[in-house]
Amino acid sequence: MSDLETRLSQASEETREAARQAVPPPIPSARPARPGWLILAAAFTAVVLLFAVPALLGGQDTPLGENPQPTQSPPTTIGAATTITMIDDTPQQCSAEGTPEPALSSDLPADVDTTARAIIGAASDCDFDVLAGIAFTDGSPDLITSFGGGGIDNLARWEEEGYGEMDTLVRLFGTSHALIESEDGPAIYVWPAAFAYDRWEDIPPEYLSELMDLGVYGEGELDEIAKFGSYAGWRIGIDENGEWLFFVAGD
Amino acid sequence: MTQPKTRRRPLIAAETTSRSISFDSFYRSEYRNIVAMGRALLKDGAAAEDLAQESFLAAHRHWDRISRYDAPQAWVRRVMINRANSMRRRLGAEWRALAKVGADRETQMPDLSPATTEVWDQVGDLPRRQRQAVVLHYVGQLTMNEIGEAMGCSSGAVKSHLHRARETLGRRLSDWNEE
Repeated sequence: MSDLETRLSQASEETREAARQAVPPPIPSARPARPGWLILAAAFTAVVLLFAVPALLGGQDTPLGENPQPTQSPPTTIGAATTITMIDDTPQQCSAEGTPEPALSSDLPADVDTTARAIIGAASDCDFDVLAGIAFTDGSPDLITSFGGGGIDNLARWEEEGYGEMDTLVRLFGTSHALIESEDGPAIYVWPAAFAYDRWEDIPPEYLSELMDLGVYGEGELDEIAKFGSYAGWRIGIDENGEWLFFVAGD
Repeated sequence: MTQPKTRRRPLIAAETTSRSISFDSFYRSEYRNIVAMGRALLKDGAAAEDLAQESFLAAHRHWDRISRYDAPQAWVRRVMINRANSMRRRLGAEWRALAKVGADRETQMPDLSPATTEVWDQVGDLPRRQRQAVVLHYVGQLTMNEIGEAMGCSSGAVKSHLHRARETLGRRLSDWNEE
């Protein structure tokens, strides 16, 4: 075994041994666990108050009378040597924040309904970690997203770049769904129902109206999709077992 | 309502079983494994415990479905490594600040030795996918397929990440030894 392997193995063994001392807290209930960042933020605030307030009162290191910056606090001197700067690390707003929760059809199978509700909940919070968990399928490829894969990472990146994919994801569940059956696998529930038609001309008017009212497509975008010959815009697929299969746009 | 016609398309079959285990026994048997991997990824015992709790809470919410999987722990590992990445990104500044003032939070776990801490520091500086592969492989003691499942990539890609990680770590840790 090489020196590197030895070091990694020893470090891993020591870390596993240390973790054996960790006692699982009571099983999570409906009450959400305290997010770690809140604890850290509280600890950080306490540390800053502990050191910074005496410094301010003593007037030694921090100039008084200056207006505080709204987004970045001035450097706070602690003791003689350590300076820390509080960084405004406010998460970017989630595009689905405030998006009305869609009413799912009551005729969905329980497994599909459960997955759809879980996706809506996580997407509304832009919780990509939980979305990744929902997209995880046992023994199957990952969730399919557009442009060559990438799964949830794609969605997170697009959301961060401001494309508003989480808003789209939530809104799509507000459209009618359709069932696409197959002879060689589980049936798939798709949103919007327009996706289930091979030809744009066959899409019923009420489903076309849903697309127009969706609030996702700008002027002329649906005309561009129509030129493709069928609905190739954003759609969601969940199979009858409740596995989330895709959230894609394009061919 | 006009009925859409039945279409054939390639499908991704979901492998589920009727076997179902209790969340309680699953949680107790897997909690420490997740904490260990979290600690190597985050280099902070208390944060690793938070990470594990959040990951299991997510599993608890979806337990009806996850419990039917052959390996529910794979689901939790997936959520855990994603959450670890988010926590690192979101809290990096706060952690650095806390570390500077020695404001460790309480954890029941003992401190790691300086040598082990140095190993995880160096692993922490690796690119994200390499870092995850190293921790899942060495701390989690998972197979290439299991790591691929957790990372959402092929076992071949995992081997590639591990290979590049070992090259970098071999260089950095030997430099550290010489210092």
